[in-house]
Amino acid sequence: MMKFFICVFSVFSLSIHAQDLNKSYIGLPKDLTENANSCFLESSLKVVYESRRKVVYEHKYVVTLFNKKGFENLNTQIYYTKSTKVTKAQAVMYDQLGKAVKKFKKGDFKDYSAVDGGTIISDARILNLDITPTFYPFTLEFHYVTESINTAFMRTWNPIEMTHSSVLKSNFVVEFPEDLGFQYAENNLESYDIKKEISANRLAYEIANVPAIKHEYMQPSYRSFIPSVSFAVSKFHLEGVDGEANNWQDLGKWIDTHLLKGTEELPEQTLSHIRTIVGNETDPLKKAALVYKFVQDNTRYISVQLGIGGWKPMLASDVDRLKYGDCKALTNYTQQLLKAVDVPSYYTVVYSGSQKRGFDQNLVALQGDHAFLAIPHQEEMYWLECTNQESPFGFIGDFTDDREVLVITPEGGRIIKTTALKHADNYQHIQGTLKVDASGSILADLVISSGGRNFSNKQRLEKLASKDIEKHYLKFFNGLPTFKINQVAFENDFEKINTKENLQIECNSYIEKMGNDYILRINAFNLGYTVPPRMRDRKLPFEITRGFLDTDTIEIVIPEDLEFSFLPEDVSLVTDFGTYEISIRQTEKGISYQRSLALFEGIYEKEKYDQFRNFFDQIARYDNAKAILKEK
Amino acid sequence: MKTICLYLFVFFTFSIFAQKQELGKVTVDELKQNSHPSDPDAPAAILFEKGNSRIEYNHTHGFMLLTDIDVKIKIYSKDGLAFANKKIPFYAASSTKEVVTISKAFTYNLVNDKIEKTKLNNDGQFVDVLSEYWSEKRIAMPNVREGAIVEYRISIVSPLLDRVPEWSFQKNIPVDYSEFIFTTPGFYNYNFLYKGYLTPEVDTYTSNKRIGLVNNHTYGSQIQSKQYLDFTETTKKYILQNIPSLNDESFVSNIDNYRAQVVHELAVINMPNSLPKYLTTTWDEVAKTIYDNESFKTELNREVYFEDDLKEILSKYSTNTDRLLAIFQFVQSKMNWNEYVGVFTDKGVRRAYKDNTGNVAEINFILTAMLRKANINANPVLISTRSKGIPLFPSRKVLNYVIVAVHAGDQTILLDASNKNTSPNIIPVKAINWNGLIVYKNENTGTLELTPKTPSNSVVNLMCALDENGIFTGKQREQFFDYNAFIFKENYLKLVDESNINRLEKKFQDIEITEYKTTAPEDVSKPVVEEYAFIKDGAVEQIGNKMYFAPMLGHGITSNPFKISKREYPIDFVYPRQEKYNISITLPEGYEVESLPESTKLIFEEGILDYTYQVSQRNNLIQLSVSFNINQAVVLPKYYDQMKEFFENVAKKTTEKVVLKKI
Repeated sequence: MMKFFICVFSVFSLSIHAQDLNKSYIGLPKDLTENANSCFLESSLKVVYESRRKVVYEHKYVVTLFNKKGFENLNTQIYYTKSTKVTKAQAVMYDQLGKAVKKFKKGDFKDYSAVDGGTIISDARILNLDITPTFYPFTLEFHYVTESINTAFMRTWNPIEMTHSSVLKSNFVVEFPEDLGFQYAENNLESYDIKKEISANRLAYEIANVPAIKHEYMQPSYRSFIPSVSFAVSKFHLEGVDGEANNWQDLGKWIDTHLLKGTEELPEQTLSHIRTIVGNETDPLKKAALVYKFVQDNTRYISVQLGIGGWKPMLASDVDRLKYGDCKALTNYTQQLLKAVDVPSYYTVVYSGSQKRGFDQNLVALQGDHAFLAIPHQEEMYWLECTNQESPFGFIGDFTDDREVLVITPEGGRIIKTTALKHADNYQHIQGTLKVDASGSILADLVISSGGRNFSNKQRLEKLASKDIEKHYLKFFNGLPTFKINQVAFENDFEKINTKENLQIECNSYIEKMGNDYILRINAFNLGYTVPPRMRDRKLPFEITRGFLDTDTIEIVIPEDLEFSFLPEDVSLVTDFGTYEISIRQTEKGISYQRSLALFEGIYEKEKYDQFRNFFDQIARYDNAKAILKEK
Repeated sequence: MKTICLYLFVFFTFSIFAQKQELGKVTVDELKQNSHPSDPDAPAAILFEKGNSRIEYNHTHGFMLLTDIDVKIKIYSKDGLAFANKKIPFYAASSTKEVVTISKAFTYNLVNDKIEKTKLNNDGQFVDVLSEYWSEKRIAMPNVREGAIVEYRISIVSPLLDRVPEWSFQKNIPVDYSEFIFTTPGFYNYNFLYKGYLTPEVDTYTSNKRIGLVNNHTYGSQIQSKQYLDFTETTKKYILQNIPSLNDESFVSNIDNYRAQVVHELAVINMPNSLPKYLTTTWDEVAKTIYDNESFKTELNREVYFEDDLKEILSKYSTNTDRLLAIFQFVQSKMNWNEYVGVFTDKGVRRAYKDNTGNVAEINFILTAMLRKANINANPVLISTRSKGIPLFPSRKVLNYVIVAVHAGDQTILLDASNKNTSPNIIPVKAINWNGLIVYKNENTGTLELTPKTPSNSVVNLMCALDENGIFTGKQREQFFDYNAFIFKENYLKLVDESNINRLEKKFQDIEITEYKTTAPEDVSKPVVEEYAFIKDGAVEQIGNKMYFAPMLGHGITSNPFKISKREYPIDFVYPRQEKYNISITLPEGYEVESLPESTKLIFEEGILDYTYQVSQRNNLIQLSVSFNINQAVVLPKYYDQMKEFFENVAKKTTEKVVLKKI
C-alpha cells in the first residue's frame, strides 16, 4: 500500500546534538521537497518519567517552511494547565543561509485561554508563538519543555507532524524507571526505515528521509497509515490520585473507584420522582427510554473542565440542581437515575467525532475524549448519548458509532466495539407522483422517508423556520429550476428512527420544449452526487466512511395528448463500492420510474479509484437521462 | 388636541411598561406561553433588556462609567437553552480594570402551576482570562428547562469612559422591549449614532447636579467639603419595542450593518477651568483626534529611516508615474503584514521598516511618507473594514484600517501595500466599504468613495470541436482584469497546477484538463491569464439521431444564485463586473443544426444588469458571443423580485441547447 523509498543517507548526516544543528535546508534531496510545504530538518521528542508523579516532555524541532501554507499548518502552541507547567519555551528564526535573524524567549510567547466554543470554563491555557514570517523559505527552531504530574495518559510520538511536510530526521527517546510498568505500541512502522533501541529503562527510535504525504480525496484517517509510537506507564498518577492498571479490567476499576465513586448520590426527592415517572413499567428498555427522555427534557450540555474535572464528573446532585453538565456529568447523572429504577448501565469512554477512532487496545492507559452510556440488554448494548437532547433512545449517531470504546462495568473495564451504521441503515426512500403539464410545469407529491444518518440530518427539519426549510429544499432539490413548495409536513418517529417529509412541489419550467419535442429529465429529485475528481497518481487507498441506500419510486403522469417518443434504457451497475439500478415501465398514464443507489462503507485499494470514479461518472450520466415527449 | 392625545397615550403605555419591565415580576402567564406570539419559530425571546449607563463621580477614582443591564429571557424550546448562558468580555489589564458583577439572577419554572425560583450561585459563575488585556465573565443559569424564564442584572464598573455599551436593540431572537438610558455630566459630551433599519424613540432630559470635591491628599478630619462643583446632567433614553429577529442572507456585506443599534462615543471633554478637548464631533474632529495621536502624526512624518532606499529608487525612475509604481512595489514587496489592523502604529514605522513586518498603519504610513518625500501628493485614508460595519456617522471607533490615496491631476489612485496582490486602484475586498476618510497634509479632511466605479472584466475565449461520439476537444483561455485578477491571485495563483486542475474539473464535472498554465505579468495593467486544453465528455445528450448540448459548455450563470423567495437587505456584488464569453464550436461531420437558441438581449432596471447572448452558424461552425454585465456594485432589495427573475432568465438562456440532427 504505502511504500517509501529507503533513501541513501544524505550528505547532511545531522548530529542529534543541539549545538550541531544545521539550520540550512539547501541541498535537501528532491523527494523531500516534492509536495512539501515544509521539511522537518530535525525533530526530537524526549519524554522522561522521573517518577510516577512527574513526567518531563521536551520537544525540539527545526523546520524549514517553504511557503505560507507550511507555516499555517505549523503548530506553535504549547498547551498547559495548573498541573502541566511550561518550564521552557523558546524559538529562533533563521534565514536561508542558516543565520539566526530573530530569537524569542518565553516572555515573547502570547498567553491565551484554551477555552473553545462549547466550554464555559477550563483551566487549560495556551502559550503561542505569534510571528509574521517576512520571507520564505525560512527555518524555525522551536523548543519547549513541559512538566506534568499527570502520567496516566497515553502519549504518542508522531514523526510526521503535519500533512504536506517531509522529515529529514526525527528521533524519539523515552526514559522510565523500570518499576513503572512502561508499555508501548507501534503503528504503521513497517514500511519505514526506522532504527530502534530498547533497554529496561529506555526506548528510542530514529527515522530519516520521509517524503511528504499529499492529502488525497477520500483518504482514510491519517492515523490509519502514518507511523507513530504510543506509550504509557501502568503505575500512574492523575491530579492527586495514584493508580495502577495492567489490563483494561483494572483501569476500569480504577476509573470507577477514583473518578466516579462519590459523585453518585441523588436527593431522595429526585429518586422518587423518577420512580413515579417509570411507574409500573417493567421492561428494562422501556424504563431506560423514559429515564433518557427525562434527562433530555431536563438538562442542557455545558462543559466545565477544571482540574480533575477534565476526568471526574461533577456531582450527580449538582447536575440535578443546576440542570446542566458536561458529557461526564450528564452520563453519570443518567446512570444514577437508571440505577434508581433498577436498570444497570455502564459509564463508557470513547474517542468521539465523525472520523472514527477506536481505543488503542495495545496500551492500557487513559484514552478517549468523551463519555456516554451503555445499557446491556440481552447480549446487546444500547448506547445513549446523554449530551444530545434530541437523539432517539438507543440510536447511535456518527459521533460514536463503529469503534472500540472502554466500558466501565462493575467487574471492571472492557473494550467493546460500538454499533455500526451499515449502508442499509442510512436509507432514504422518495416515493410519489410527478404530474406533467403541457405548459412544461410539473406538480409533485412526495413522501421522503429516511433513517440512520439521514434521520440525524433531517430530524431537525420540523424545528426550522420556514425560511430555513425553504433553504434546505433549495439545496436538496438542486436539479430543479426555481420551484415553489406548496405544502410541507414532517413526521418524526423516534422509536423506528424514521423521519417522513410530505411535500408538494410545483416547478414551472421543468420541461424544455425544443421544436416539437418536450424534453423531460426523468430523475427530478435525486441528483447531486459529485463525481470524484480525476487523480493522476494516487498514493493512498480511499475510504467510504459510511454508506447509504437511496431508493426512489416515482409515478410520472403525462397529459393525455402527449406520448413518449423516447425513453432511456434500464440500467444495472454492480461494483465493489455499490450498486445502481434504474428501471422504467410504461403505465396507463405515463411511466413508473425506479432508481436505487447503494454505497458500501469500507476502505478500498488505490488501484480501484478509477473504477470508483467511473461508477459515479456513469451514475451522473444516467441520473441525467432524458425522455422525449411529443404530441399524439 | 391631537398632540395631547398622543402624548397621553404614550404616557399611558409607558406607565404600563414601567410596571412590567422589572426583574422579579415573572407571571404564570409568561411561564405558560409556549411560543412567541409574533414569531412562533423563535427558540427564545428577550422579554425585555434594559441598560442604564451613567458617569458618576467617585471620591477615590474620579469619574467612572457605571452600567447596569437587566435582562429577562423566555426560553421556548431546547434550541433556546443556549440563551441561558451568557458571556461578558471586560477589560482587565494590570493597570486598568473593569469590574463585572451579576446579581438578581434567577431561573423561573412552572412546576404544577406554581412558580419555582432557582438562584444563580457562585458555582454557575466563571471568569476566564482571555489574554493580557481581556477577560470574560461567563454565567450558566441553573435549572433551565423549556418554558423557563431567566433573569439577571449585569453591573459593570469601568474607569474607561469610552466603553459605553454598544446597545443592540435587535438580536437573533425577537426582542419585545429594549431600553437604553445614558446619563452624562456636561463635562463629557457624547455623540450617538444609530445603525439598522429601525430607529428607537428618544427622550432627552436634563437636571442640575452638585458634587463635593475632596482633595485626596488630605487625611484626617480636615476634609475640604466646602468645594462644590455644579453642573447639568443630560439623560437620553432610547426605547424600541417588538423588534423582529435579525437573520443573515447571502450577498450581504455585513449583517451587523442592518442591526438596530445605538452607539455612544465620547466627543468633547469640557472640564471647568480648562479648554474643551474635541474628540469626535465631525469627521474633521475625528481625523484631528486620530492625527494628534502620537502614533499617527509623528509616525507618519518620520522619514529618515528610508532615505537610502528611496534615493536608489528615485535615481532609477524619473517620472512621477514610474516613481509612484516603483515606490508602491518596493514597499509592497519589502513589508509583510502581521495581520493586525488599526489606524495607529504599534511598534512604530522605524521598527516595522527594519523588521520588514508591520500592521496595516505602519506599512501604509511608510508608503505615504516615501511617496510624499518623492514629491507625490499622497495621503492616508482611514477606513472601516467590512467586518467592522459602515461608518455612517463621525466616529473614531469604526475606523480600523488605513490605505493611501494619491492625487495626480483630477485622478485619485488608491494604494494598499499591506497585501502582496494589490495594485494601484485595487485594494483588498475587506477595505471596499462605502466611504473612507482622507487626511491631508494640512490636517484637513475629506471623504473618498471606495466602491469601485469601473467594472472589472473577465474574458473567456474557447475553441473546440465536437465529434460524433459527443465529445468536445478544445482549448480555453480566460483573462482576468483588475479585481478579478486580484481575486484570482489571492485564491489560485500560488496553488500548484494540480489543485487548480482539480478545482476546474470539479466545477465543470465532465471535463479532463491538460496543458494547464497560468500567467501573471509583472505589468499589473495586463491581465492574469489561465489557459488549458480539455476533453469534455458527457455534455451532450444523444437521443435517437439527435444531439443536444448547451453551447456555453457550463460557463456563465447556469443556475440562479437567488432562489430564496424574500429578500430584506441590499445585494452586494462588491464591485461592478463584465464577463465576456467567445465560444466557437466545430460540428462533427454528418450532422446539421436543427435548431439554435435565439439571440437575445436582456436589460435590467436602469441598466443595473445586462445580458447579451448572440449565436450564429456558418457551415459547420457555431459561434457564440455572450456578455453579462453587473454595472452597479450594490443593488437595493426593492429590486429583488425582478432581479431574481432576471437571473432566472439568464440561467435559462445560458443552459439553452443546440439541437443537431444526423443527416
